[in-house]
Amino acid sequence: MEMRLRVDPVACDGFGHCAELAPEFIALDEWGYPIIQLDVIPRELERVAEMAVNQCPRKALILEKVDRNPPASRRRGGTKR
Amino acid sequence: MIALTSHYLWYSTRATGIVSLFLFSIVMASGIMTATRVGGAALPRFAIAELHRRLTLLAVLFLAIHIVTSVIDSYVNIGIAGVFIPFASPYKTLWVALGAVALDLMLAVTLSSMLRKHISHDLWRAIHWISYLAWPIALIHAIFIGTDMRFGWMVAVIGVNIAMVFLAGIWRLWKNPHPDGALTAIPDRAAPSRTTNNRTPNASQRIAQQRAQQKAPSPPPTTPSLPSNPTTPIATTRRPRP
Repeated sequence: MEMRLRVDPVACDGFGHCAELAPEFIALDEWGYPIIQLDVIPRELERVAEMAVNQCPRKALILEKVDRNPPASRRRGGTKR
Repeated sequence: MIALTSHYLWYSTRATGIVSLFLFSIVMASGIMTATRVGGAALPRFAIAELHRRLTLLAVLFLAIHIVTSVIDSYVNIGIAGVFIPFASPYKTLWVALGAVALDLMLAVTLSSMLRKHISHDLWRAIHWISYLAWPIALIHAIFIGTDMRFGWMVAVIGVNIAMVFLAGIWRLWKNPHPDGALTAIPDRAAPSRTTNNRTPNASQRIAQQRAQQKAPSPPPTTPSLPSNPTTPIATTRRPRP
């Protein structure tokens, strides 16, 4: 299953730990908020993504499965994991 | 209880108590530094946060030895109850009670952090603020319970402990670390937006910007690009934070 990384923009406070831990695919904008640069996290980087998720001081990173065909009833992208 | 009055128990209690206090002071300072967003290329921020976590476990280990040796040392009568329940210890009731309170509070903070994944962030944070209460109580316990304060080195150790935590605290208060605030702890990153305007945009302004960029179809964004994934949800409101 393909995984993707998402930032909860409400929870994020720009601590920047994720960009230090996963510079391969997380950059910071000029205010220090993360930009996820990959739509899909490759399998070999999933461990790195998990680490960034676990280390986030705000629990603002979400690693989730990419659902190619979400049912219409399901709301897209809740903040709960 | 078996008559365990070995001097080594007493020495162990004193030594591990001091080491544990020292470690908890470093834990406090590194925790405050994490919140202040201290760190750069030489010592990354995540490293300070990780130090904060791991030193906590080490401090708890020393605290456990400190408690076990003081309980099994039959020269002083503290009892298992006295360890957790304030004023339950016949020996130096008040000062042991402060130790018990500090222990209970530190356990709450540490256990809630271990369960951080499973509890809400606000609850975790509220419990974590208790450490500002637990640490001074532990410090007072250390200063007044023992007989070591007559030694210069012990006074120096206490002084270093207080200095570490207070300097970190003043640093945190002095630098408003939140990126939405007027000051940030990372002036190099904040510099572009501060040349024209001293106040960086807040979250809702950023989101408005992102939305404007998403709606405008033609020119590629020149200002910070947003995650290219179109399914990324955009929050419309900003929840107030404590």
